Amino acid sequence: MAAAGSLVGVAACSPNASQAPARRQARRSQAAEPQVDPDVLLAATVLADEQRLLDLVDATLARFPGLTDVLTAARDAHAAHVALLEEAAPDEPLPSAGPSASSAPEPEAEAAVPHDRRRALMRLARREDDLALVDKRSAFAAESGAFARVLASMAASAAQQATLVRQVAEGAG
Amino acid sequence: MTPEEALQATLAGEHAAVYVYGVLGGRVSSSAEPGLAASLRAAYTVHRGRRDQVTAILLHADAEPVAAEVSYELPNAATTAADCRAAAAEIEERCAEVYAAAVGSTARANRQWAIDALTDSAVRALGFGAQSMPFPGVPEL
Repeated sequence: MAAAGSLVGVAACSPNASQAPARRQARRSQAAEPQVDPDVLLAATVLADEQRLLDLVDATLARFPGLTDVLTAARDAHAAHVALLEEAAPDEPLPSAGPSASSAPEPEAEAAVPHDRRRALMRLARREDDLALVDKRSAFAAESGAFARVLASMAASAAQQATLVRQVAEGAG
Repeated sequence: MTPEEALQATLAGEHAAVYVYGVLGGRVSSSAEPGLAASLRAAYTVHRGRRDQVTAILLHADAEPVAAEVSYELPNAATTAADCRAAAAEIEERCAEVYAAAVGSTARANRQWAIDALTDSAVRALGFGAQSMPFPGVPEL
């Protein structure tokens, strides 16, 4: 696997030496603070969303062990996404990094996987759809083309899992 | 890869996809395999539309769109329905790689177009029997 750091062109703490004087003045209070690469912030945000989806897959598997065959691909995909993003995101949480607005944190709800198998699968499929949208938006916003390519691929992966999980849910009618 | 090179590669992929889907569609009986025949027709329509969209994008950028080849090699013999499904899945996976490359080489509207096309191809491939993968269109991961 390629180093994720190179995918985002990590320059997490690169001082910006080309500030215009007026902007330099306006940012005097921030002068001592390093600038964070926007793609690193993006990686941290997507990582939070991918980890949350992975947690939901695990919670669903814990409630329905019989779904292992169905959800192994989803688990493997999101675990791979998380592993790659962990290489790109900083170890320490960033103030502005966090889950995106479109997939607001609901840790209690995530843990409370529905007892009905079909409802649990439909819920998971919807979360895969949500994550695909987050990944797409992130791919659009990424400054690095290489990182955008990987994020777009993650979106496609989540869309694949949404489709597969929904098919099983509908079959479980 | 420049944006124009990425779009030209995308157009070349669409030319191939349109050709292959045209051939596959002619080899699947609508009465014997109605579901597969409908999926092939839908894919043909989608890729033909994308071919025309990328052509328009290139023309708008004052670039000369790459022409289609006279013919293309099919991914397999395509003599059975299973062959045709596999060929269609492979075409979608090849297109996914081209779209992913375009995502990385373009920006704004063209990048959004490529992002959406990548997701569509990855999902469409499943319908033809492809396995899901963690990084569709990015074979080195």
